[in-house]
Amino acid sequence: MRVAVIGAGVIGLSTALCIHQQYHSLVPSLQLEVYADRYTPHTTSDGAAGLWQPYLSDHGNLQETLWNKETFDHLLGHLGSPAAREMGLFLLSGYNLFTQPVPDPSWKNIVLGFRHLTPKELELFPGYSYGWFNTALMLECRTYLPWLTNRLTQRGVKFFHKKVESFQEMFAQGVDVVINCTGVRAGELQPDPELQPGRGQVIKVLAPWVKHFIITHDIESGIYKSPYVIPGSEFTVLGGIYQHGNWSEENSAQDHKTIWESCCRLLPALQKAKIVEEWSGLRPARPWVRLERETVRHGHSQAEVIHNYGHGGFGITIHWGCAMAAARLFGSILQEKRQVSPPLPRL
Amino acid sequence: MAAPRVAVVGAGVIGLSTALCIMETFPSCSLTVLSDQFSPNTTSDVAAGMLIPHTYPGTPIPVQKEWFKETFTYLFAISNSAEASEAGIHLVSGWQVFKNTPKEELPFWSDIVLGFRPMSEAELQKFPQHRFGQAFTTLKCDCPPYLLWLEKRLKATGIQMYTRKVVDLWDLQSEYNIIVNCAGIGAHQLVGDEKLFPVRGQVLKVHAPWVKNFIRDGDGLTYIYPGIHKVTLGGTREKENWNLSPDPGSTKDIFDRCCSLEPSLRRAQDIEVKVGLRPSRQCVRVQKELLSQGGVKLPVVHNYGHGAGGFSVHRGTAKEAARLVGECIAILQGSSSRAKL
Repeated sequence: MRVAVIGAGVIGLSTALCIHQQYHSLVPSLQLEVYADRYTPHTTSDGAAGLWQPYLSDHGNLQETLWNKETFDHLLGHLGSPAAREMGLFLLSGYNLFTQPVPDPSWKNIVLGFRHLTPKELELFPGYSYGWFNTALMLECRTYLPWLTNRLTQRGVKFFHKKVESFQEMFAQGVDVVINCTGVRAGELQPDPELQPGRGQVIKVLAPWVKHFIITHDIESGIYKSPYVIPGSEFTVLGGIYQHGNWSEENSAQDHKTIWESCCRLLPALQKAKIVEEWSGLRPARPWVRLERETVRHGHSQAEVIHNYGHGGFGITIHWGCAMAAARLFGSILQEKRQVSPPLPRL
Repeated sequence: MAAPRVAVVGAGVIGLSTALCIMETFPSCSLTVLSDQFSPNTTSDVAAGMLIPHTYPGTPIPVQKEWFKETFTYLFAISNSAEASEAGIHLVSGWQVFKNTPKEELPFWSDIVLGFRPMSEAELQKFPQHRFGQAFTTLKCDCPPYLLWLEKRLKATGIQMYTRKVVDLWDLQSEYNIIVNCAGIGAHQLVGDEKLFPVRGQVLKVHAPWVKNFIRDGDGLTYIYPGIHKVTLGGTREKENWNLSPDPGSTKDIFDRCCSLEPSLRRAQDIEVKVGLRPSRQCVRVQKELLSQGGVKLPVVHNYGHGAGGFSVHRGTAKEAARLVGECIAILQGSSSRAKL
C-alpha cells in the first residue's frame, strides 16, 4: 500500500507521522513517501512565529475548535519530556489587546490561566482599553519540522524533492492514496476558488528582553492586520500584515515600515532592537479547512485523495488535530480496502 | 555655604540608586561615589534582580509596602520606555508554587505586582509536587545593565566615581560633609554592625532562552528567573557563611532542584556559577546618625541591610535616604549660617 504525502510543511509532515504511527504495524505493506518542492527552512510554516493561538472567533466551526484543543493538549503533554527541546516547544505567556470589549474566545479554557487584563496592565498599552492574558505554547517550525523529519526518517519514510504536477502523476506511479497537504498552492493540483493567499510579512529582530507575546487586534480591519510581537527562542518576530489575494513572496518596503512603526509604538524599547531578517509568506486561507476524502477515477480503478489544506494563519495551532482526523480518514480507506483484516491466503 | 560635599560609599544597586536620588533631589550637591567594587563585581550583579519582596521582620509592613510600590512604579515607567533594554528592565510573568498551602494566601505586595491571582488546576498540573500556586507578572532588573545604566545617568549629572576601599568613615571627614553608607555587607566591618550578617547565596546563570516564565518555589530556595541573556537558577540561603567560592555540591543540587521544576533546563548551556552574600538584617537600616569624635561632627545616612530584597525596595529606600540627606544638608546650612553671625 503506497501512500504519498504531498507537502512538507507542518501539515504534511505531521500527517505523515500520524499515519505512520497508527498504521505501520497494522499494515505491513505500508510504504509512506513525502513529495515536496520546498522543505524546511523554506516552507510557509518555517516563517511563522509558531505561537499556538486560534483566530478570535471560530464562526461556529466547532470541529476546528476541537482540533485546536487536541493540538494544544498533545503539545502540552510533551512539555515535560526531553523531546520538548528537540521539538522547539515551550510555554509562552502574553497579551491580546483590543480597543473595545470583545466576547471571550472559544479557546479560553484550552490555554492556561486565561483572564482579562487589569487597568494597571492596560497602562502598558496606550490606545488599548481591553485585553486578555494567558499562557500558551510556542512551537518553532525551524526546529519542529526537522524533528518531524527525523522521526519519519527513522521510520523508513522516504523523501523526494520534486514538484508534483497532478494527482494522476502519483497514481500512474502506483501510489494508492495521496495525502494532499499542499497548502496555499493546492489550487495547482485541483482548482479551489475558496483557497486564497493571505500574504504576511514579518521582521525578525534581536530583542531578548521581550518575554511575552503581544497581539493587538483591530476588529474592523481583521486578523493579523494589527501589530504583533512574538518572542522566540532566538529572535523576536514582529508582524501585522494580512493581504488577501496577494501572491507576492517579495518583501515590501511599505509593509516593513508599517510593521516597524506600529510595533515600536507598541513597545518603545524595540527601537533599539537589531533587525536580523525579513520574510514574506502566504497563509493558505480558506473559509474553513478542507479536510476530506475524495475518490478519484484512475483508468479503470479508483484512487483516493485525502485533502488536508487551507489552515490559514492557524496551521501550527490546529495541525495535530487535523493530522489525527486525516489518519482516521486513512483508516476508513483501509477498512474499505479490507487492508486491516487478516490477509487472505493467496490462491 | 558651598555646595555640600556628599560621599556615597558603595556602588551596588543601593549605592547607585541612592546617589541618583540625591542628585535628583539636590542637584547642587557635589557628590562622589566611593566603592571597592563596581559592576560587574558587586553583590547586586549576582542577584537576579526580581521584584518579589522579601519580608523584613523588623520593618513595619506599610513601610515595606510603600518602598516596594515606589520601586515598582519607578521601574514600570522605565520598562515601558525606549530605555528599557539599555536599563535592563523587563516584565516577566510566572508562578510561585507551594508544596504546602501558605498560611498567608495574599502577600502584602499582591496588589502591586500585575495580575496576581491563584493558579488554576490546569496550571498546577505542570507542578505535580506542588499543591497551591500564585500567578503574576512582575519586573526584573538585569545586572550589569541596570547598574551600568545608573552609572551612566550619574555621570551625566557630573558626579565622580572612584575605586577606593573605605575602612573607616572618619577617613572621609576631611573631604566630605555628609557620608551615605550603602556598603551592604561591608557595613559589618565599616560601621561594626553586629546585627548585619551574610546569607550566602549561590546561583547558576545559564543559557536557556526558551524559558520565558519565572518559577519560584514558595520556600524561596528554588527559583528560575529568566533574564535578558541568561536564566538565573537558585539557590542557597546559608546564614553566617562568608565563603565567596562556588561550592560544586551546591551547583549540582541547585541544578537538580530547578530541573525538577522545569525539566527542559537539562538542556541549558554555558553554566556560570556565582556567589553573593546577602547583607541581611532584621530591618533595613535607613537612618541618620551624627558621628562625633573630638568635637568634630560627621553626619552619616545609613542605607544598608536589604538582605534578599534589595532590588525590590531599592528606589523606595533610596528616596528615604535622600530625604535624610536633605535633613543633614539643612542642619549643615543652619549651623553654617549660625557660624556667620
